[in-house]
Amino acid sequence: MKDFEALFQEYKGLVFKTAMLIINNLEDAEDILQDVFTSAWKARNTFDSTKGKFIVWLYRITVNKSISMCRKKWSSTLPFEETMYTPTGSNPRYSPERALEIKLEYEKFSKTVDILDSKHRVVLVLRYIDDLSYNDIADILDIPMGTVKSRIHNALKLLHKQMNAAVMDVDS
Amino acid sequence: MDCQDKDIDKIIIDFIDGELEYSEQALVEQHLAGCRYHREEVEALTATRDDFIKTLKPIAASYSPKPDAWERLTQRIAIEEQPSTARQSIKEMFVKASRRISGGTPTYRRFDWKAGLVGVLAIALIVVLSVTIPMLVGSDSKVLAIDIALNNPEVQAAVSDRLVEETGVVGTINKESVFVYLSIEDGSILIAEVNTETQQVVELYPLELTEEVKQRAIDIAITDARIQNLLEQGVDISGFTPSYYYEIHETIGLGGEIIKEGSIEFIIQLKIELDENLYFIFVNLDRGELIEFQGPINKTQFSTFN
Repeated sequence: MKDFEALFQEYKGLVFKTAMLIINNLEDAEDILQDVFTSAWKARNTFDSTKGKFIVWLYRITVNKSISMCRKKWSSTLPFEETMYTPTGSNPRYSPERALEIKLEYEKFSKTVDILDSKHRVVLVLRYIDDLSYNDIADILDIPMGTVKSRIHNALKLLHKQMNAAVMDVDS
Repeated sequence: MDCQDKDIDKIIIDFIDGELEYSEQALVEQHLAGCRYHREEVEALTATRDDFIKTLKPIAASYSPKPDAWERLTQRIAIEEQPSTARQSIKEMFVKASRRISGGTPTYRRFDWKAGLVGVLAIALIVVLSVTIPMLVGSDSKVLAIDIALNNPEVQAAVSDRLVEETGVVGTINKESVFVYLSIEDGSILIAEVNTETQQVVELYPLELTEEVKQRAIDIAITDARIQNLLEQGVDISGFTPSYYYEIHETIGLGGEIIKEGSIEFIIQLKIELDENLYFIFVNLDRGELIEFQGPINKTQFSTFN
């Protein structure tokens, strides 16, 4: 159990963050974290490290569970108070001023991200937030590497189009 | 204006991410120098990617699970590792079993495998509609599965000339197979694992209500001191009702895929009557465990409840 706890402590942030970026719901992300590591515990004796990296396997479960739970779109009402400056001050990564700045940027940006479905959102998160290689993303999603790149391409084009539309709305 | 060089589109993401070899990178740059369309696209994609990263990376870095996440996980694992029967809805089983004991006047029909098939299928449909376990299989597949089971020679041999009181589909085992149950007039149960793709009965799980089975249920029950006390008062067990417990397990395959599989375990409900009270004991024969002890329940209240 000690080894498993070490594993949990090492990867809990990664799993939670990835789930949160895909589903944008704190409670669901907490549930996914629990589900993923319960599955990992059950499969601890069957995981074959020769067939793939543990981290890819962990990502795959996280992404599968997140997509299946992805009922909600990202919204501009990110629960910032809980994630960035909690009343207990348990997460003092940013000053209140910087947190507010990030929040405003996010609120503006999230409206455009809303247009992405989960499969396009996932590739952008894995590539540009988690900094994974195309090859690892292909393994995680079980799709060809060419499909990974075309999804990233399409996702960025969709985002750009939406951002331009938002700018035109403001101008008019 | 569009560009006819579609090969650039295939590597444009590699280009903006700096993933191309030096020679390929140079070729793209050469193309961009003379192509306004792709130059603008590269600028747009790069700016969008940078905005995405700039906006979301600080947010992502702020995410962390609740401090009690590990404690919650260990509690959940402890619960998951308990015998599955300890987590089930006893009430559901209790109501089902109780209905069998005192529930109205079931229609007994001498089962004729050929002529009786239509009648049995009609009963089976009613039963299937009333089963409370969530069904993962379509109604056509249910009828088909029951049909396969009823026409299987091994099933017919196991039932012999006894009456089949109820039939139905318990639930799915995997993508291809379902559990079909047959409730027999003497209280015995026969569960058939039916593959609806190959239309074969793969396995039979009978629970015959023999004296040996009853004794095994008693042996499990008397491991509990409360039941021992009751039996020491000279009361007899007045009813043995076989039932089953169906559960869906979620496991992770070696490839990380989620696999759902159903399993079934046999349960026996024992009934004890003492003065004006009833006691119900549920034992899991497959695990050799006492699941639940209920009582005393006032007989009058019990009959009102039913």
